[in-house]
Amino acid sequence: MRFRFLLASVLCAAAVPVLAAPSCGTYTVVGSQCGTTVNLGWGTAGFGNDSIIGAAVSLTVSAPVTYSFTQLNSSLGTSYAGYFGIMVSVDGATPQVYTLANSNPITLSPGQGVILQVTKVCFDPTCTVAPPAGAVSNMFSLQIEILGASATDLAKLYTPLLTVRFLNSSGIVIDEEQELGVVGAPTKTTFGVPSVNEAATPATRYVQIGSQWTLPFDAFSVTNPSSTQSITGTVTLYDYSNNLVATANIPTIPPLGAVGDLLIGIPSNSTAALFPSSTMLPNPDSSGVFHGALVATFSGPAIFLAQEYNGDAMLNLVIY
Amino acid sequence: MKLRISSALFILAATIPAFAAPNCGTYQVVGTQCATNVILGWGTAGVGTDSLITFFIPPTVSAPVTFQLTQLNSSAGASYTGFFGAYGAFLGSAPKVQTVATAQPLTGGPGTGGILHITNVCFDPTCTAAPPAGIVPDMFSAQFQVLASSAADLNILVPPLLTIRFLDSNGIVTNEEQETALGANPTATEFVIDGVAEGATAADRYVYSGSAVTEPFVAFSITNPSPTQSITGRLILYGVDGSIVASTTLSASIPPLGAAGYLLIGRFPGDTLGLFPSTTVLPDPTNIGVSFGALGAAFTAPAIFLAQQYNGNAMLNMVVF
Repeated sequence: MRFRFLLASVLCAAAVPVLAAPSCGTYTVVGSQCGTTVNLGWGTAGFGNDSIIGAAVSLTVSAPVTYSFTQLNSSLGTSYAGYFGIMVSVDGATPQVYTLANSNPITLSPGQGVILQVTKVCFDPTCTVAPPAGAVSNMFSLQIEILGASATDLAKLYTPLLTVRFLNSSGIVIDEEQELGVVGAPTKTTFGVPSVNEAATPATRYVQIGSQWTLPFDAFSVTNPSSTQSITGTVTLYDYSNNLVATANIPTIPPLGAVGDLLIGIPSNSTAALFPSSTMLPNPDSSGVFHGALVATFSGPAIFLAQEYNGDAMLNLVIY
Repeated sequence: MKLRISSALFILAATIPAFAAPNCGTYQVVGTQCATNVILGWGTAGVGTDSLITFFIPPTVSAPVTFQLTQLNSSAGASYTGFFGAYGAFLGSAPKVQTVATAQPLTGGPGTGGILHITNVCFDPTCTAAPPAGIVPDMFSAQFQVLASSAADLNILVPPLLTIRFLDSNGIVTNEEQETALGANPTATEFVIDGVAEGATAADRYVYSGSAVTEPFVAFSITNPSPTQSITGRLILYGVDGSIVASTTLSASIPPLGAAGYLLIGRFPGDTLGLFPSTTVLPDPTNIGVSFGALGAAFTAPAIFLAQQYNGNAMLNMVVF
């Protein structure tokens, strides 16, 4: 009897190994499924912002796909060990506070999608406590694990898409930007913005007529996707005659942390900035605006985003 | 003496073949350089918009790079054979009307660049003639040939970047979007926008409170990069549950090098700008007046597909897969 049981076990093991370990190619094997991760580097919720996260599954996948939060962090990353959650409405349902611990996986069948509206970041379960010192008050980053039945299914996946909305006091959208999730482990350490436009002098920078900026200025963010290692970096501004105009170091960013800076500071304002407010920029075409390129290099992989404010517009800058 | 000259020529020819035919890998060989094409699908200039085209040559290229305008077309593409030009100049220079025939190449060394500012499209040399019937009055597409000394230099090229600015009557920027030039020969024939949000009913759509639209709506454009073949296509709107909400084929083919712009849903009955009729009712399971879903587009040949979502006072340059 014992021999028969052993034989049956051996036969069974020989017959079903593909169920236990699917061929996932470059993806990760997770149980009987294939997995990948997606990083969303900088969402905002609260203080006049909300974020819409959309995920959709191709009609042609062979089986349901599951999404699970695997990281949810403030700008302090792992250097903050207290409570952190986000207030979320799933497909229009009543919002509730989700943390990494209480968020349930979302499983979507072929062709299905889900919309998450994130309205606040929370530093306690009631979402009423002020953020700890040094944390960006409305920023969050996310890592999502996606499980599919096969590498083929994961290859057909639509990457989760984050839309940040800037709202006025009446809830009207005044600006929007979109950030496509970074699939897999981020690897990029150098980034370029080929079109940076910024008011050339302190006197002409951050001047408004009503709600409109008279000349453009830029802001950027850096998110460290590593769960173990801090990163540092250097950002350099060039003009279009191959001259180095300014360079500065990015302070150390803790694991899973992030920083957001203005490119140039506002006079008499403590808002974080890379270059001092006194910075004078070349203005060869006498338009009052500097035109050039920005290069950012980090000691480890990063997620780099940038925006340009001009008039009433906020432009999500193309980064290569 | 004749033999000596022949020998000298033979020796010379034997020693310099690398100058005559560089190894350009998958790129074209053009004279002693390597070349590729880049395409900007939809710029606008005039009627409250202008376009900035940024050229930036990475500091790490080994030698100067040249950009030469090779195509400049209106939305009618090759089906319009009249005058077509763009009024503009590199920042700091005096603007003038430029056509494919008159545009001078831009050559820059490593780390250099420039911004071409286009303020109008022109249907005559004085830029005063009205556009012919059926042509989008402020639209242009452009193709550039890029010449570099090696395939390695072309590999690290930064594609030209188009920034469209929407301006109010005082010239203040109210919205901006950016489009990176596509390299060489576009190959994508299928596109998906998975974040479509649109007012659910005719009563919800295109309602304004001051300058702010109260519910979002979506617009998109298709540019045909082929100089020889027309294209047509089919578009399908899906709900978030994967159901097909609406589908249609383009009402007219897009001529070679032509383009078409649509609102996803028309503003009023008979609106020819609308892909789907204004009476279209979209699913609104949460009863918030907005429908969420995805738009799929499939064309008979490669296309450049761009989309924008208008919401409140914002215009979002949508991510297209």
